[in-house]
Amino acid sequence: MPARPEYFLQDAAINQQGASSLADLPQAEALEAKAVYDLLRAGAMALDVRTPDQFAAGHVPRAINIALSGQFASWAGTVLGLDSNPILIADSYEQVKEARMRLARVGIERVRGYLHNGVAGWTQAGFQLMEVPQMSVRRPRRGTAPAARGGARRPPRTGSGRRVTSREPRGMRLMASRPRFLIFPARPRWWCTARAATAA
Amino acid sequence: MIACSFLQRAGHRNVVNLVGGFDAWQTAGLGVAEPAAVAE
Repeated sequence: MPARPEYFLQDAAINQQGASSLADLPQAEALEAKAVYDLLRAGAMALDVRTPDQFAAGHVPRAINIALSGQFASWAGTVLGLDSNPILIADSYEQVKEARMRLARVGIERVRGYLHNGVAGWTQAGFQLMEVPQMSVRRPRRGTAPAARGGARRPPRTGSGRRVTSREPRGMRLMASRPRFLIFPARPRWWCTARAATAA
Repeated sequence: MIACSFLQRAGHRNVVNLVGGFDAWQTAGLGVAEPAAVAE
């Protein structure tokens, strides 16, 4: 049985106090790209709810990706915490509303707003996107770090955003229980993997 | 992708997503370090 998420305790306290009705949630405010940029620079968190493939192809720098298509609320409650007060980034206003509702169900009732026109609005305002290169396990020879055999596949370019990539100076070994990171010293490169979540 | 986004947010630039995740790595028969081995 998986460990109980930390936010369950906070949810219990919220329920004892009497949670507000989901129907009473205020509308999320539409934020222009410049406002989002300023908030991010001030330390705000952006939550991109698009699919991992979309996120990999181009995303607002420093945004966290938790896709609506997965166990969205459980992950958000676990890794963001109930006081994260995120800025939502989505493909449509329908997605914003769905994310807002599902976040509220686990106790994340406050959001700063959402990025108006999503990633397209970001690039149209002249801001850059970042990407996450993808690599398959089929690429490497057995016993060698895949990164040592030629690097990662870039996701397809989408929209008008420019890619932003650079290199990290050092690699290291690290293995965490969840999410799990495989990092090889052969070449400096971070590898992200994750087990399927077991929480509902 | 959640982990990748956290690493990028922490300032790491050379982040790569392993398609299929840890399960794909194990299914492909590639080596896995157990916690005890990592601690040595």
